[in-house]
Amino acid sequence: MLIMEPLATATNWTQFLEDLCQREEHRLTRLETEVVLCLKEIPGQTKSDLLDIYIESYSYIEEEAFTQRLKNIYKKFQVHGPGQKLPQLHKFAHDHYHKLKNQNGFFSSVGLNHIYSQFPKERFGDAIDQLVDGNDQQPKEVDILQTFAPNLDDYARHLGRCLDQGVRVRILLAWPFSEAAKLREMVLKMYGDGSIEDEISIRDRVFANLETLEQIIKVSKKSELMEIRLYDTLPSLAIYRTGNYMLAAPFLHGSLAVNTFQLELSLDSSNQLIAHTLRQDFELMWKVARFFRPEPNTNWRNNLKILFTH
Amino acid sequence: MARLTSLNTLEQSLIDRLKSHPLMQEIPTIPWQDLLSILIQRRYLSLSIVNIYEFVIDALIDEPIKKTVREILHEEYPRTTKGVPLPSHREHLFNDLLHMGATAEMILATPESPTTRRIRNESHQLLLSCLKSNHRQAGLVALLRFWGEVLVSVEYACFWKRISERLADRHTETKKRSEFYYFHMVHDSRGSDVGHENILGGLTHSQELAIHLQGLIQSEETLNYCLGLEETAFQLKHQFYDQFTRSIHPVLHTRP
Repeated sequence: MLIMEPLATATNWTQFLEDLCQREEHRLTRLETEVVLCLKEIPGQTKSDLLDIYIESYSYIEEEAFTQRLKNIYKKFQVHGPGQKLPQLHKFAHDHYHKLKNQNGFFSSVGLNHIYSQFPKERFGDAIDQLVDGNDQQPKEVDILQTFAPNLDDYARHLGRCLDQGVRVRILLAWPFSEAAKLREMVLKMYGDGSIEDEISIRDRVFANLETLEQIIKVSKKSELMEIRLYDTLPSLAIYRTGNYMLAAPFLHGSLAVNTFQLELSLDSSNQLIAHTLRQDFELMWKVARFFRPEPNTNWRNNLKILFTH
Repeated sequence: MARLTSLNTLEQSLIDRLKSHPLMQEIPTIPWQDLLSILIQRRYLSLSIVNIYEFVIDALIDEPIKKTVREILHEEYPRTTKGVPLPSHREHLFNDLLHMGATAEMILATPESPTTRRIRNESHQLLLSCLKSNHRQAGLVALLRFWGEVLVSVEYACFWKRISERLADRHTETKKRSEFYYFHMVHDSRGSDVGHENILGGLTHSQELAIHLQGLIQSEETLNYCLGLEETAFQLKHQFYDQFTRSIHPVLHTRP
């Protein structure tokens, strides 16, 4: 499921050094790794300091043997500049460490917490439950933006709970008679990997979603909190949001959005670059999309057909 | 594009002429019982449209056009995605008539008038004639679109002025919603000139067929053939409504 190690893996210098030594391209032995782990984060360490720390931390070693081990390490890290090699090794490690720390800080500041290889089914369900049951200050809203949501039935119970507990639910789906929906269907059929997408009918799948929503409306006493709108354009991202938690995934040519990578985002991040942009786009789509309600026990399919033609 | 201009000009003119038919002009003052009799007679043409669509699907060669026609036909018989059949558009028509005050017996027992039968048969003959033409595909699409969608919407729009006295276009406390006439008036409508369909927003049935039609009209000969078919389709509709205007009391001859 996880395709990328958590972005904040190297939370400290020692952990970073361990990760560095384990990397495939360096292939350090266990004994060489022990030497590298004796490097201090602060620059200025001499070979003698390093040896003392090594002996203290691991075991006694002759200076000559230690020097030979260091030479192997320099070679593996491709430290071959003129002058003393130990400061160069330290700089190499230090630069990588700070680059990573800066990266981690940046990703965290823009709210990017995780990347999943496909939609994390249970994670999103848990996030909804947390919003419904929690007492924190998150906005009590759940938003879904999809062409059609293949996983909507997985959350029927969660969405029902949302309504009963006063959480507003907004669902944005493709208008099944739109040219944009037809185009998306053709693209999936043309470039899909030969599995589910080959036989897909977006019209039927949106209808199925609306039937699910009809059932949720039917049994809820607060169904007015469920708002559904349909659009006739082509959004570029699928969005599942609950409070300040969001999963966003691109609509790629070859697969459904739920089957591609998912960006897990916090919307209350200090840097609002991603959060604000995605929320703004959702609100714009919400504004231009048309209200639709699959009212139970009515011929709502009639209304659906003419939603954009009058 | 000039070809489409000729087509659009003719279509607009035929639509205006149908709206100007004496019966259409009288709709605001026709007694309700007579209006219902006209709509009950008109129902026979609605019932025949399924066969027209089936015929065209079989007669067409081009698969994407068949697909469009098939989808329109299947909308007449909706199902849930679990396969449960829902009331068909035929049933909606029947119920709209009931909700306007017709009895089930009136609807079911009123026979098809000789004129209605003739119009229905001649419409079918017109379709058959397309098979012998060098412009068969264009002819089938042009006729299906103009006879079965564009003019239908014009007819219902004329009738809607009265139907809306008894049925609403939405759910209200006081009136039943029209499930047939209103929605067909909207989703069958011409919508735009041929060649001016907008990719955003929805396409009506007429526009879905228009997109195929413009691709099929590649020569003056094909254009003229389609113009002729649309003119004849208009004449058939005109004659259908003539039957109700031959006497002072418009619908007397259609009664059994």
